[in-house]
Amino acid sequence: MSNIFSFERFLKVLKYDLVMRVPAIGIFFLVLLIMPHVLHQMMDFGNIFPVDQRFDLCGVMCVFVVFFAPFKIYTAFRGKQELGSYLMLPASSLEKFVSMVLVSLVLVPVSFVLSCYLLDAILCLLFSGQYGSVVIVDYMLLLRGAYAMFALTGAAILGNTLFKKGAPGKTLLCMLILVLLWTSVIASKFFDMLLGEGVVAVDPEVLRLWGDITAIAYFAGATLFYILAWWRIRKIQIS
Amino acid sequence: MINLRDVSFSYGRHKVLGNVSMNLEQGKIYGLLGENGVGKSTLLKILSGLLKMEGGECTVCGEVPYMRYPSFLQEIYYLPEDFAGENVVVEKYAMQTGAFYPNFSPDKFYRILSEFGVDGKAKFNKLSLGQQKKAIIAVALSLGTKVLLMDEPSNGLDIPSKALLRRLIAENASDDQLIIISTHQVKDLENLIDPIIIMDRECVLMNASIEEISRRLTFSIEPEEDKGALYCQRDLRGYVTVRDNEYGVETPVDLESLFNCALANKALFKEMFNANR
Repeated sequence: MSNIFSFERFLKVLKYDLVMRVPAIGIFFLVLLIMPHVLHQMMDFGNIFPVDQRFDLCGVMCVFVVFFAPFKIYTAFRGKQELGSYLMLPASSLEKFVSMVLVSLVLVPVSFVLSCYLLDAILCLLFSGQYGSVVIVDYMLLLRGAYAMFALTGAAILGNTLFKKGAPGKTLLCMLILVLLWTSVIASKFFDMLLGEGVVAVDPEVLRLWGDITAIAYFAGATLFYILAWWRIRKIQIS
Repeated sequence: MINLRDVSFSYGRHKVLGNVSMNLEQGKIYGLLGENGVGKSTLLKILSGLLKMEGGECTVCGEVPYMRYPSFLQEIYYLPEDFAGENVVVEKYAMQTGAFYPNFSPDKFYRILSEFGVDGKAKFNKLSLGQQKKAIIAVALSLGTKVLLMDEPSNGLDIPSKALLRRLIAENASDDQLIIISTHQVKDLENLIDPIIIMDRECVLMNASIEEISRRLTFSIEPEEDKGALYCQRDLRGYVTVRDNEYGVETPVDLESLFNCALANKALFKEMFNANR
């Protein structure tokens, strides 16, 4: 069996994560699942809860789930003993990393969105006056947000491996700093052009180009998060 | 099976290990003794791949531990001094962890757990610290790894369990297994650990079998103090005395006296027991 990646061993790691680690997110998952409905009942009891509002809120809650999933599930990076157990599990760092990504980026958000739809359908059946009839599932909801989820999960996974205390907050802060830095670069380019032209006008081609560059930079940055997280798992030591 | 050559390690500026060399063989249960802070746990972490040494060479079962390849990890298990009790059922933890180890024996796990009197259906974090320790020891002994590293395994165990631990380790250690037990509680593991490794600041003072120790030293309780002895300390029974074995009379080795004697005669012990082999 290869020491770098074995599919058979990877499946064992995935099973281990699903059985031993994923249940840790259970309460958080349930709270976010029912929160939109609870808030609606508290603030707008008895009134209709429009379907587009419901699914928009589902999307928002999904963002929270996606961001916090690595911190809630992979708590091994919080303490020495847990980290020791995680590192000593007989699997390669790549297998552990791929399982972490699969769980955080795919399984958890897909499960959450499906749970949202299921809960919505049940509530539609029980409270048709407020919820209306059961709607056709919008499968594109996840795909529309896939790009943002890719970056968010990558940052969360890296932050989880880097920071022991206050990891979610520190990760958000670092992300904010990176976005501010990049935005400053973009703004400085456009301000140069504005000053040079003397007129408030931007070449649409240049604008499109910078939009593409920004998209590529965000994707490259997100990919870098994943690579750094894998490297961190590979090289981490505990004292 | 374990080969260390001039291994060194520091935490920042504080050097813990310096030019540590030893060869450890399979089929033995080594006792790793030393004062607080000499690097016993650090050494175990280097052997298990959790720490990267700064200098020297270290191989365990022919592999470099720090690479943490699966082929290496499935042959070694490190039981830390403090085990984090997870929010999982004991037997579920054992079965899920054991799936990664080719020689894991569920029957052995349940048998050892039963002997310790721990409920396998309880969650780790609902058990007392002693019971958690017993549960994880049951897991460690049932994995069937070639190398088993135990850091203070008897800490937190009640008196009957310490005797039970000795028996279970002796019964369940296989002929090709190498076990290293780091401990301050030498009385808990007397008659089990052989050979004995005594570490000092940055070095190894001795690495010798009980047979070799009893060939070179005698241990006795005397009514009077012997100032010419290597070590002489008054206790409730009289004067615990350690001397050179000039007359070839082998006496049972008192590990506590041996340890104290070694610390009092460091240079002599290093030379006598040729520590860097």
